[in-house]
Amino acid sequence: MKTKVAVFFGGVSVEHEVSIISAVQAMHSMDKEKYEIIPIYITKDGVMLYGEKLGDIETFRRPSLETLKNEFEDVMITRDGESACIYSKKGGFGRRKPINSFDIAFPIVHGTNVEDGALSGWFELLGVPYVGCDILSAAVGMDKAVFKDVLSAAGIPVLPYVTFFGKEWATDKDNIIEKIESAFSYPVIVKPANLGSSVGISKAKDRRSLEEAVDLATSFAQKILVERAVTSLREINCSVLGDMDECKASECEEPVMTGDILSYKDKYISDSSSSKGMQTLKRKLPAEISEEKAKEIKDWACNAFKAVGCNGVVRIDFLLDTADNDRVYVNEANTIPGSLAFYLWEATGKKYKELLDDMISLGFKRDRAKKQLMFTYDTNILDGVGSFGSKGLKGSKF
Amino acid sequence: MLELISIIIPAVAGMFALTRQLHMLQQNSYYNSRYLSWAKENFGFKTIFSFFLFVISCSFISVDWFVLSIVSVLALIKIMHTFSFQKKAIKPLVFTARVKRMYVTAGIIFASLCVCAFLFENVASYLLIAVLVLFYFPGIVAVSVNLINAPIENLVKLWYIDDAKKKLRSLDEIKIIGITGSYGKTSTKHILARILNEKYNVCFTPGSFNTPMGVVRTIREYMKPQTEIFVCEMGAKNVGDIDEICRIVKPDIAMITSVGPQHLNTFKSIENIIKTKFELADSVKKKGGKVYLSTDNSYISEKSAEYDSVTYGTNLGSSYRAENITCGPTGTKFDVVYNDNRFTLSTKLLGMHNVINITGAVAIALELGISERDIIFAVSKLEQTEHRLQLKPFIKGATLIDDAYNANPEGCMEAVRVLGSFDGMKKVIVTPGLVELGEREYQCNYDLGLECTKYCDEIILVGKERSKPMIDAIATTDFDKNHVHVVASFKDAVAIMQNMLDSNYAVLFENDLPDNYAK
Repeated sequence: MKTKVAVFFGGVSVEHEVSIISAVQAMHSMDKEKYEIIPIYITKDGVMLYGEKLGDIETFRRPSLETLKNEFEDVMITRDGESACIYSKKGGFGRRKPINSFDIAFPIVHGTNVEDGALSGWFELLGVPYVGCDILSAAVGMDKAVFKDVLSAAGIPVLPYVTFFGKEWATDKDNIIEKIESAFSYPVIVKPANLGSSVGISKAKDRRSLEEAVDLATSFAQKILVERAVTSLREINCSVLGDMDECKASECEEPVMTGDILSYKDKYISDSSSSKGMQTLKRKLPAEISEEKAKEIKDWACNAFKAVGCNGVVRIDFLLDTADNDRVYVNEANTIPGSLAFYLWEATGKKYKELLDDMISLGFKRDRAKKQLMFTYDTNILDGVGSFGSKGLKGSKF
Repeated sequence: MLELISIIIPAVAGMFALTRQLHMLQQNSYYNSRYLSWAKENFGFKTIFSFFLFVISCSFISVDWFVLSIVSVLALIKIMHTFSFQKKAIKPLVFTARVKRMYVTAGIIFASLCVCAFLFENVASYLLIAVLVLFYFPGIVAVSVNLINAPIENLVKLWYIDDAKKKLRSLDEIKIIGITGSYGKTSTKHILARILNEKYNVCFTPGSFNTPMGVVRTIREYMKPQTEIFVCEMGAKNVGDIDEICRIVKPDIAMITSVGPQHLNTFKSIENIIKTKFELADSVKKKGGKVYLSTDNSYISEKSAEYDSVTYGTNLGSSYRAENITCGPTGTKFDVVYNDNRFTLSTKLLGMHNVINITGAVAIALELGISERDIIFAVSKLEQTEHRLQLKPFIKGATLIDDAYNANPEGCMEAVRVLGSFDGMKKVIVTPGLVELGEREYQCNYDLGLECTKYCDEIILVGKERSKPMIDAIATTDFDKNHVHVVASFKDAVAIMQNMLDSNYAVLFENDLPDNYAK
């Protein structure tokens, strides 16, 4: 008997394709002796497709992903008794029989509408165990501004920022520019608050380029974040695995940049022939930093992980200000990192298969802990209240 | 033609009328004997009336239209009655595969009677009488169907056992822990499962599913592919019962909580009880696993050397020992000591038996790699059982120990001792004494009275007549009579306490208290 793992990927997100790569990689590496893998692919318009072949990268090598809908079953998922069941949308007589069920959900999705806690929330509602961050930690990890707030409250170093909404920018541009200019001197970095994979991020060297940068960012997100650009910097990434009980940090890496900032192109396109995602990015692994610096980064990574309340595997990205004695700042978090950051764990001697195993165990552990908590009382306050009609509640205990 | 209809109608209605009987048979666990004693208890007007109608139907058996009309009306009533009854029932009939098989057998019986009546006209009226018997007295159908299906059910049972074994063997990394004992096995199971839950996916036999078929059902219905540990409670009423379960589950770890004179009528002797409980230890030893034994039970500790076992309890020689046990308004606190290690646990649970059960569970948990930190947390979260030495806040800030459901003499004495261990607090007991103990009743209450004088500051007895033996006992001691109160009801007891209590008081409610006073 194998544990049924439903791997959810794709989704209504700009990082849709990246998610396919990450998920297919993970499905290939999962222990087939122990797990039965059920791929559930969420299309770009939010339809869920089901079928074994969705676990194969060849399935996705086609001019348009739209055509997958013609080949794979369109399913819905609800809870039935103790387990989460998959039902075909095609009708039948009477009560429908599920076509499959699963014991745990494994979301491998990137970006808004999925990674931001939306999918976790849906799993919570289904009452099915799932892998990775819960609603709150995923949501905090997604919003770069809120993430910084939570971290600075926990005493973890982050760069200060100015934030505003797209509509404010359109109507009150001068005031916002003034606010930015009084807080920082150029150059500054402009980011959409809730996008990953460096989408919509650009550097502004003066007022004109600031306006351009904000215009670009506002077409990706409603909330915008501006912070001081660290001009001579190194980026260091570190992954954390665990839960609120205990966690450990992986090896540190230093991605190699082709431009001013690590771009979406650097991350996913530059080596497009192999389409292997984050793992093929040019990088130094382990990062060439002193042992003390590495330890400092790993400690901050674990602290950030706990402050946000993460679960599973998370990648925390750091900035080192080389002009300021390599001062460390936490830049952002990826609650479902590209390729699940397995390459950082392989560098510490943990095989991808083991990493996935650990993540699944952590998912079950959280579910067990949650089930120990009380969510319902046996007494029904509506019982004995009587009718809610003309007499209403007047005569009752209320 | 008319005759044929008058046989088909009662046959069909007979199938419906069967529902209520199968329902009762199901609630009596498919034991014909239990079902029949239920039928005996419910023998009354309805049965007599049915018999009356049956006699009338038979006497006019040749008048087709008469039989047909009386049977049709009754059939309609019976069918409607069946539906309304099932709708109203608190626990309606569950249409399990077994029940379905019984319907099939009954259907075959009714159908073959009808077909025979059609084929052999000369015996048709006898067949009609036969159908009428089954129609008026559906209990007969239920019992016979149950008898006829017995061999099939046996095969089905064997298939279930085999299926459970297969499922269990397909989980190659699973660890199976068997727990048995005359008492304490259910609470130990819950404690152990709760602690192991901190690290592992645990499956355990729910409620008191401790028979072979209960275990089989747990494996088939509750065990998941991700289950890492199976905690299996094993109950016994006869020699060989435990061995039967062991052959199904093949446990890796054994735990025997206690041996005592329980189910002595079926076991015949205490030696047989010991032998049966140790069937678990034998099975585990054969597999090379560890055996955990409680040292607080003389029957067990005699055998512990024989099994090269790991011992636990409050005795000095135990491998896992509970020490420094203290009680108070927040519960029990004690140290677990093993090898050269010691760590402190606190729990809401009260009573020496709970300390011992927790110590045993901790011993296994440590063996399975649960950290002390996780154990401390899980033990602090153990849930109390309603009205069983349950700690609650009481009026005037006092602490209440609610032991209202305890009616056994040993348990009552232990409860009084628990109250006595609330150091530095004023101790009050409220009790009507023990009831329904036959000849032993006077002596048990007398002993309880003596125990109270040793540990309590105030004794409130409910019921003048009932408390006589305890008064007699108190009179033999120098306990101050001003602190003994005899009241007519619990309401009066609460009234006395209204003026007496403050936050430094601990009150024990012992045996048989209506809920509303315990608030």
